[in-house]
Amino acid sequence: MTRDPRHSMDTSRQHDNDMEPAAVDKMVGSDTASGSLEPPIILPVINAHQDPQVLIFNLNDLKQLRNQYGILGVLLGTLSQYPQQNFFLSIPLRLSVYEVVWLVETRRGILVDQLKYRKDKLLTSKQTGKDIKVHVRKDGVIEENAHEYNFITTRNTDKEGRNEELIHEHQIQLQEYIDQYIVSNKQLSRKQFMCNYQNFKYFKELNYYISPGLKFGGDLVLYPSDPLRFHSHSIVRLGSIDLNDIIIGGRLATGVKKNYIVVDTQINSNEDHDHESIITILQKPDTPKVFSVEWAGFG
Amino acid sequence: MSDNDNNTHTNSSSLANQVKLNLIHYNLWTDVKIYETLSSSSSSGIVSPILSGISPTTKETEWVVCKSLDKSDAQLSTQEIESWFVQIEKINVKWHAYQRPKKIIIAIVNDDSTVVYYNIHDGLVKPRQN
Repeated sequence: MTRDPRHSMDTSRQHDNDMEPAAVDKMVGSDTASGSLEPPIILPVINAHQDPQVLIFNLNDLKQLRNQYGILGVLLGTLSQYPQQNFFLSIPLRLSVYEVVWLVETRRGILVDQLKYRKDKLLTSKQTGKDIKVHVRKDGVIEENAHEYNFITTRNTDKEGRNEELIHEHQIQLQEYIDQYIVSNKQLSRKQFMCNYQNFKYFKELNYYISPGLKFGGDLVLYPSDPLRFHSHSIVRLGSIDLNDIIIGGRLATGVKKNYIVVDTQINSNEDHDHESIITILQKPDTPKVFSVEWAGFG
Repeated sequence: MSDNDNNTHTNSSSLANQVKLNLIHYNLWTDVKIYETLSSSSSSGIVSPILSGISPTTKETEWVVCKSLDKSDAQLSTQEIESWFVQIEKINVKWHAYQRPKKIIIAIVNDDSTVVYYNIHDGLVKPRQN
């Protein structure tokens, strides 16, 4: 494959247009059916009452989200000593609101008020958190209760893992999370949020891996499988469009070997959704109208 | 339904003629026909003319829908795009008994009289690999 400067970091990826997303998943063996076999992943909610964010710090959960459920999120962890290093980031993983709603709606995740859960867990923890003074000898042997000490170790007292009782006590309902999100994001109307979520869900259930679209001037970017292995196929634009969007999106997408997807759900704009609970709206089946745009190559 | 050179009075026909001339003389298309649509689904009430012709590269009959980029017509919705597919399907049924087209080409005419063309595929398709 000749080296294309547009893909300078990604020569190891495949640009195989024959890959269908469902076929790749069968190859990898991931199970994207109902997640009822595993206990739902804890989705810790930070700042639950003002601008709720879901941040995943648990590495095993992160792996399960990515490998089993195809949820990518965005890694946020940086080192304060190296502020310019912004390519290889670390935990926490931040999930987008649509990813969170999908996980909770399909019972693969459960929203937990992290601050309250942690506080209560500390109180009920049977292990004490006393620091231990140790002496590390030059040959590497560690002695506890030594007369002279040169290190202090702090025990990890969170060995009990999940506390199901506390999880349910501090669970946040999906409706509350969505309401809080819409309140703190004033530019997004409830109707637009529902439309966006229906479209996100449509692509998700076609087994695409979905990433934020900002890099390519869209709302979403679709990959047939894990982004570390494949280039994306499509840039999705949610919501209403005009002719300029067709021109700009079509030309940009074609220039980076993708296409530009326009989609709109058929939610009736006259219906009043504010009074209907989000959950009942989510359960109405809605197949959106989807079209793929690309530059025609002439003219 | 097929209309060739005569209508030069209404706005939609001059749009169609502009695209027809561009297809024939600039892009070397052949056998270009204009189909005036009888009903409109765009909010402003202006009809979007539909053309068909043979592209020199694919050598197959392609369908072209014309839009103008002036402010009155700039809005576009997926319902409108859907209506074009339905209209072409109806035209197809009358002439060739085909089905809904897999792709249509949208021709957008700018105010400086340049015309740009984009493919609109029905549904979610893979991008073509260049």
